[in-house]
Amino acid sequence: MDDKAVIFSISSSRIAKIAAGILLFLGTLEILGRADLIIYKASFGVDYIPPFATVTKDDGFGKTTHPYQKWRQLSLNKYGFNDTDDYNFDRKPGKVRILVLGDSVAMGTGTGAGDWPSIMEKYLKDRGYDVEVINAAISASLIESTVDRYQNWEKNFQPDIVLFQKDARRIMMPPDAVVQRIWPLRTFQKHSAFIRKTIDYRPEDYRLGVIWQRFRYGIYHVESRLSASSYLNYTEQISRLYDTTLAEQSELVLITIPWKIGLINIEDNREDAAEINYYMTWLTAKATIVGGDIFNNYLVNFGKNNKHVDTVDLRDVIGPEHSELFSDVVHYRRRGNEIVAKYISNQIEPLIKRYE
Amino acid sequence: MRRVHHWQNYLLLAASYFFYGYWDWRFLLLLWFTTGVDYFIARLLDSISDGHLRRQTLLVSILINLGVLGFFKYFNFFIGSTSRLLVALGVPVGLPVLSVVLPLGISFYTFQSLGYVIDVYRHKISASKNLVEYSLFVAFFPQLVAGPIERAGDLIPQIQSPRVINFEQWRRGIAIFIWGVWLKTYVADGLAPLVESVFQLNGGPSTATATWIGVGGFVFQVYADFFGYSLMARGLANLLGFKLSTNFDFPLFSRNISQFWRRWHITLSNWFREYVYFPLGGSRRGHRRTATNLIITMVLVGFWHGPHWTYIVWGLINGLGLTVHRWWQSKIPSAQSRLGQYISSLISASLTALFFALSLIIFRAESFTLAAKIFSQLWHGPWYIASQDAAHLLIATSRIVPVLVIDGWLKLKNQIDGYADWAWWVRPIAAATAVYLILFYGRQSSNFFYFIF
Repeated sequence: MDDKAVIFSISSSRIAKIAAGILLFLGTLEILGRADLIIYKASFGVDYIPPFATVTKDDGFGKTTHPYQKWRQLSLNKYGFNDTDDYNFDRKPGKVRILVLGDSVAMGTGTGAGDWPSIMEKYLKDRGYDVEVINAAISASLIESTVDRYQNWEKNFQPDIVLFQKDARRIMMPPDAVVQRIWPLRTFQKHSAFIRKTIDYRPEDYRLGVIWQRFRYGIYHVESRLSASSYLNYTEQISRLYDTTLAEQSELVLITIPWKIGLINIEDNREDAAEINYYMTWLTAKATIVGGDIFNNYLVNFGKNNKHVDTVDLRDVIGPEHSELFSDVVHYRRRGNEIVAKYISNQIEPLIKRYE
Repeated sequence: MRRVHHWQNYLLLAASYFFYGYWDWRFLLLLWFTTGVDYFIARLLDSISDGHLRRQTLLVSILINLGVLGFFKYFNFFIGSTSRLLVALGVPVGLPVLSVVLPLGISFYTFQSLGYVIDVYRHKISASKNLVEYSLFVAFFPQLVAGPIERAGDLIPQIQSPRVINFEQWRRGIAIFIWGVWLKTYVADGLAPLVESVFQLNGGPSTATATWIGVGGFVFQVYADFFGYSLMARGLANLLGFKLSTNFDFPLFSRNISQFWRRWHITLSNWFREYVYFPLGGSRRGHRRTATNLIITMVLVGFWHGPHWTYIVWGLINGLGLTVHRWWQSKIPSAQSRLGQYISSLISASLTALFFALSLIIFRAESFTLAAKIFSQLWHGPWYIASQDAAHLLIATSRIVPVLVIDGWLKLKNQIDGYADWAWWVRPIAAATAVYLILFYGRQSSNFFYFIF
């Protein structure tokens, strides 16, 4: 090696090619992104709702609440459930035990309006049933880790009936990262601050934003996209849950999650859709709106095709046409919680009678 | 310039030790031990002229290297197998079991270091006189934990010489690296769920269709996982001014099992060919001895992968495959017409891929019982496509077809480094497509398959 060797060299004649290469690189990303949206429409029959260009950044987000949301400090028991009671594992004869697995919708975070499982328990007791409801829902927990935990808990809780309600985003990977990252914050206020932090890092260009988020906070948002593999993962987790309840001779009840922005009204609710986009990334929105309905349909069919499993389709009682019942795009206000609790308690009443 | 180059080596060595020690600093001591022993034994070999003494010195190195490897990787295997044998003979004993984590990449760096000592013994290279340079040869971080297993004659001269890094090398390095990440995250990790559903301990799917998809998926998963890592290592090395060996040469298009093993995990195959198969006599001592040598070598290749009987049997099957192929080759005349050659190539490649795929069932299964169950499901399971199988099929097709098409094209053009050699205006398009698929359709996995070896 001669003494003229240098550590790094680049000839000036390459600069034009490099510039053209960068343009080709970015152009290809853009074309693929748009092609993805076309495939999306062809697959699901609706336009993907707007890119971030249509969204106005709300500087108050994370500092102020949604009009229907209230700050609420939660009391958590040693399992991380929304409860002050650490539970007694001993089963009382004749008492029907119902275990609720879910996320924030069932846990009651995000609205300050309580949770439907505790309202449902009250309704059932008022009707004379000897039941105890253990609300094991954990905000932002994933389906896979929930099933993992359930497989450990059930040896202790021994439920007669398991109610399961989780939305499409909860199929994110890897399983425990979200819970580890968000859940220790414990309060809605801190939770929102976390989400705000991710938005602060989002540049205006949505696709670059997604890429950036992937590196910065990638696990939370982007992994939840709707894809064949997430659908497959979802179906596998539901099967795991079903196998576990079968083995323990418990009845499984799958509960769908309706969204304020339903598939039907998606074009008529551009503002709300933009809000979803604002809270999440376009990929997450894609998973929640369209994926949500696909997964909801899967639950309904699963209930029809298998024994010892029922489905409660909440879309029959609450949905885009009842926006007044929602506090945001997915969480219920007090009245919404009451309607949901009443509907579920009606649906599971025959099951409870069987165990009495 | 030379001074700068020395500082580069110091920096690279420190980075390599940091990289390795970040996982568990205690195993750095093991790496230093292997490095130190082989460095001084090689220096000693260079200074000894007596043949008998040289052989004994080499033997010391072999015993120490294989002793360390055996202790950390195979101790429990031997203890467990001995215990089971004694119990079967009616002598129940409680032998101690070692509770230790397998040091990352120990099989790779031990073989690389041992190969160096053997090459010095054979006078193929001179012993390195610089401990820093030799240490960097053993610990060079891009290839430390999963290869390629470099020959000292190839890598040490690169460490000793000043390196020039230019735009072309960077461009190639980045292109190769992206290609590797695409293979790993989009192809290998994308296929992982459907493969795991077949090979899971408590059962797996019941349809033959799902089992075939899972078994076929595993061939591409392990290929893309390991080839992807090798490409990332090559790409990183390129960025640092080094050139590492190629580890894969389109093995899935091999027309026979012998060709396959010349193209799959090339650096490991070469190591065993050079340091085990040839010293055993290779193919020069008659058909029977050749067959025996092939089988012994492949059993050891299997055993190198890990302390499990499944790996040993997998090696044995491949050894038998190589032996049968040698016999078959001498009996069957090759086709004369172009069409005949084309058809025979197609059939041969398909049979080779099928043979390898079936042998991988034993390689991947946790036990022979599970392997037998999967074999049974391949032939006796129902042949309909369940809804979950359709999702599996979609994932498998979206991963396998691009690999086959692109690999076929690259093989046709003899371009071993992916799209790095394509036209200047095609490269950014290929890179953007790969990046898009990595970001939006890739899965995150914490591990590489070959890290466990």
